[in-house]
Amino acid sequence: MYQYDAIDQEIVDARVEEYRDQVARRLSGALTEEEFRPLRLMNGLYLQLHGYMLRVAIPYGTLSSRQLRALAEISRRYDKGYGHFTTRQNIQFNWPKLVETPDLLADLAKVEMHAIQTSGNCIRNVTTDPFAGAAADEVEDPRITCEIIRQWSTLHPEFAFLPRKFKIAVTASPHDRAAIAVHDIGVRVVDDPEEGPGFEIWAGGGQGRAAYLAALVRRFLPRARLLSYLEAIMRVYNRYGRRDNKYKARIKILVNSMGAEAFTEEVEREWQQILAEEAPVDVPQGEWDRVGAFFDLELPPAQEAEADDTHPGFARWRDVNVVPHRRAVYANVVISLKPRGGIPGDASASQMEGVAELADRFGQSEIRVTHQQNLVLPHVRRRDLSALHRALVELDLATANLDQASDIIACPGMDYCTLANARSIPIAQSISARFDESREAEIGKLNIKISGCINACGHHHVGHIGILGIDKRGEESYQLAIGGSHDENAALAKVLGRAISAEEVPAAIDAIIEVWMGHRLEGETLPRTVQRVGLVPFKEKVYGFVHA
Amino acid sequence: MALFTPEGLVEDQAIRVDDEAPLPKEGLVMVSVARWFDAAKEEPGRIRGLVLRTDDPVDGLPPDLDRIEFEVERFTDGRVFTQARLLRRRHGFRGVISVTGPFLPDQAAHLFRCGVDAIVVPDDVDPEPWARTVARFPRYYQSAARGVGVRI
Repeated sequence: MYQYDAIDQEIVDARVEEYRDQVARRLSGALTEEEFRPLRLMNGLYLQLHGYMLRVAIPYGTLSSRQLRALAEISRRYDKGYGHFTTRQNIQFNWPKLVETPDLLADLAKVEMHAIQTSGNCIRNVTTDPFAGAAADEVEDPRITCEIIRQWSTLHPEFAFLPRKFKIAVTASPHDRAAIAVHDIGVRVVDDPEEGPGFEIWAGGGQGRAAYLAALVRRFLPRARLLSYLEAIMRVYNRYGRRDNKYKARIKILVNSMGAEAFTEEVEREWQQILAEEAPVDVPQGEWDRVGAFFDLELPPAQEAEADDTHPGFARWRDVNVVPHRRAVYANVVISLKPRGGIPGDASASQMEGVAELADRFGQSEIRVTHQQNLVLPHVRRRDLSALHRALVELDLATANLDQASDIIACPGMDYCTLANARSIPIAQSISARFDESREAEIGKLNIKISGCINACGHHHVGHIGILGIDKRGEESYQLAIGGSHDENAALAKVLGRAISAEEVPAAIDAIIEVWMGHRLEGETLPRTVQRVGLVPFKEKVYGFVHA
Repeated sequence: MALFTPEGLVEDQAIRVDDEAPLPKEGLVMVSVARWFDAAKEEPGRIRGLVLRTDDPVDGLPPDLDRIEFEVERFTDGRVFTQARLLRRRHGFRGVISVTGPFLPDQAAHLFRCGVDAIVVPDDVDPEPWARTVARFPRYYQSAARGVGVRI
């Protein structure tokens, strides 16, 4: 994985001192809360219901075992002994004290970590495929592109005060595991038979209040021109994105109000002007090679034999949580952070240390965070799978439910967040507790996603079943939508009907599943069934009658 | 008012003239774009600077002005960074680029790196926090319209 050089370290260390200075000026009263707010957000510090929350960047979701141990230690020293992994492959600490946050960041900097641009109206942490470098179907490791973008976007002087937040996702596979269609910019690494290495560029996707799928703005961009093209998109957005209404300020609104074609023309015009300037921002091939070398992992040889194991739970876990690796003798293991009836995405300090230990023992000392709030141990020898499973059982981390009904994404909701209209976590708990392995084996793959408000941090727009918490005359209520997905067949979920109470949600989920299982063709996902049969049979079952 | 520059505080010699007020006979006279279009016809050479807003375009401006100032209402209005960058690097403006508005010291380095020369600050400002932020980062990842520390 990427390792800091002296320049990277200097920048992160200087950022810690800058932030320490900002906190001191806030505490002394030199900065008002209104002035401090955008500054603290640009360093990941939120003010939530019960206090501050710090969001730490995990660039493109890759952690070393050393870094994960440091996060565990930080969670003990500055928090309540646990952390919360997020849908943007980051980790959040919910209970730090403001005065201690500069020290927390200094501790992070010792292991090449930071909280730079994990919030605020700037370019956020770049996300990617959690199986990067280990997937069977990738063109190249997408983290090379991510790291180039990370450096370019870090403390970018022109794009630190954008109209709104800005999220870039990168995939390098035909099967999109990075959800590029619902990002401000989506980058697909391609190797064109005629044009060579480069990118497909998408823009204007996003979730939030109004969800949009991104438009294709360039079918092929040569690799050498990535940064100048991103600069062109950012500049068009910075100049013309709305600033009068924060709910209309995302690039998706600009793209859709201009029209994708006019937006693209504007970007292309700006790009041509950039290319005509002296020294455009583009990086030379040598820099791609330098960064690429960090991700060039030589895997030790492994034997073919796969250990057979009959101990309880292993077979189902292997079938569900183990994902093919680019080499047949290896595997990628998903460690579920979704215990049935538990809080999605939480991990205790001892679990983090345990996973770090397993990454050293069975993997390549590397861990990934997925945008579905789970962890991945890449590069595990298949013959070690049973021993790894036993070790995960000891850590309470062997839940076999990847992409199953209980593998629920949920935002923090009203338990933590000041924006939320309703609770998310207890809804996730009440749903996931209803499904056991045998029921999930009958059902098959199913993604349920829950947001506690229309800002959609729980990605409900792209859930097979999306649940949105709303405030209905002072009551927490939940609106159901079905048929969403975030892969290469991305689709937005359609609302079923009137919102229901928290108590009614589990039965409604059962009803949706029952209708799907009754109508589905062989191998058909819920979104496909919804596309084919429409909403009516689902409405009938959930509400007992069809709404107008 | 004073100007905070990468070299420290200096006196601001600009005379900003409202659209309705008479033009002074001499000095660093600055007016709005609207006034410039009117006044340039009547009193060429008298106006040496323009005050722009963050929604004004920066192309097609007279090239021989001594100063162009961006007036910003909210410090979160990031359009000014793009305006300065384009004015300096794309349009090759060689005069002084200044900004006025409720900026925070924490924005000084970004402004300078985008090509701004001077930030308008109150006469009694404590320059220390401003100077600290400018000196904070030994290097950056991006090239800049001004400054050092280019890696890519």
